[in-house]
Amino acid sequence: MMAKGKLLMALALLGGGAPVLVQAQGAQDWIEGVWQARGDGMLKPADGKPIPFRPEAAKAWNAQKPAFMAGDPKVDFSRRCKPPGEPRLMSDPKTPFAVIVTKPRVMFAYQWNRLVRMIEMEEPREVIGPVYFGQNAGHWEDETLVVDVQALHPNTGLDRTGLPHGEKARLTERFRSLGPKQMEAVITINDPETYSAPWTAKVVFDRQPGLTVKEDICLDRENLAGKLKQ
Amino acid sequence: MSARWRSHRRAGLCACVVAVGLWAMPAMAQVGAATLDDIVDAPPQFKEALSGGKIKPQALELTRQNIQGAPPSKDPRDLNGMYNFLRAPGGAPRAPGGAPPGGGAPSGGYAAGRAVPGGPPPRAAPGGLASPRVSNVGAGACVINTFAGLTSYSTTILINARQVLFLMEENHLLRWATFADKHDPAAKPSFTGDSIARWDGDTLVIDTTQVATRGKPGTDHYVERVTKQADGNVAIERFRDTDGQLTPVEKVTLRWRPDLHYVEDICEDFGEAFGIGYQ
Repeated sequence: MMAKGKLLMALALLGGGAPVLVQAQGAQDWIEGVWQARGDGMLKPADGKPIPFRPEAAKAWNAQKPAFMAGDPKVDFSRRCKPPGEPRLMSDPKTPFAVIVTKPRVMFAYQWNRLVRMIEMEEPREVIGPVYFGQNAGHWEDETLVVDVQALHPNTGLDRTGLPHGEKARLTERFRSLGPKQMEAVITINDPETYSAPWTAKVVFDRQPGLTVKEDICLDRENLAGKLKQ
Repeated sequence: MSARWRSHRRAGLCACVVAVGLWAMPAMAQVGAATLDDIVDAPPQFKEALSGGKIKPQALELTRQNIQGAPPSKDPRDLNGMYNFLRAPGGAPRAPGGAPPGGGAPSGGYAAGRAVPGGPPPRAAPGGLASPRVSNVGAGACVINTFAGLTSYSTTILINARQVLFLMEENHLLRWATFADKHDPAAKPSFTGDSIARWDGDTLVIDTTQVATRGKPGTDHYVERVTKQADGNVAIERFRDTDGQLTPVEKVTLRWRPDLHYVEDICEDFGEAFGIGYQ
């Protein structure tokens, strides 16, 4: 990808192309487009070993997991149209999302209830408290997008099983191209309150050419808007 | 503390400092003709501090200087940044229930703690866009009401050579336009419609079809002309397109706010507190 980007840039410059063309063909623009995850939406250690739960965290997760996976709105707040959080939402194989790259920001725009995840690329931001998508600080390492995530909302799970996280959880995500049609996210979860050691999961995404992210209004979809009070 | 509060806390504190300072300086405390409606993006404390229905011109100017510390990009096509909206004098037509077009909160809506605008139950629109059970409308109900038109409290614009996005922080409303010659022939009616963009000189022209309105049959077609101003603000003129005839709808100015950054704002969280959504 780097070679292609440089070649396009050189061609544009030699041909007197407009700067906007050079910008559009940047080496990091491979990530632009619509993506959808493969798999079952569950995070698993990439090394094949068991998730290094702390005992109390494993106990709580096992107790809650059946209700969470059954969509009980008392434990899975996404059934109340609250954001599912990350990396759960992006690894959901039923939810496409688009990635948009600008210099100051990279944005993941999800179809699910038109949610967005903003990755600030230029300067670290003040951590203002837990938010559903966490505080996302990104940078590029060549063509790999590296995102540092912290301050995740306590009402979210890391995946569709309700995989838990603590207040001090910190995720490092590395997004890299696997070719024109695929992308990989390597997610390292560092959460000493919940896990006895950092562990890493991988999620593979397929590019969805021709697919657009459609308008979605969860409260309408779930018919929860019908409960509005006059 | 709400996400909205947090997002504008710093600006609010600065505005309060300015306001208190002006109160303490009688020579500067001249009351101008501007009214509260002239500042739709001021934090409520600021408005309350300057109560009496008048805003001091000095306070306006000092606040403007305070919040616009960094110079804007000189590229007239670089619209990237964060903005607050400021309506042109006269405001805009009101949708059923009191919400402005786009479903954003009216001036002083959410920010002033007056959420959940009331209104008559809307009729179901063809195509199943409106639920017959819906009994409230607009951003106060955490659903999109009508054309998502740059009417929210804080707006982030992301633009590159392929697309432009308007992300309204309130109710996480996303408008999306691709640089293309033709609309998607498969596009279906939606509240945000199907948008394509092009440049007319340094004016961004956004053409949006298939715009549905909750409770109103049929769809609308809008054309918007978006121009960056020298001070970094962005002027938007919106027209309704009826068989090629353009009728002005409203003018909106997005005030450039380099001091702010996007903060997650989940309407559904507010909604539950106000009895909306899951109970």
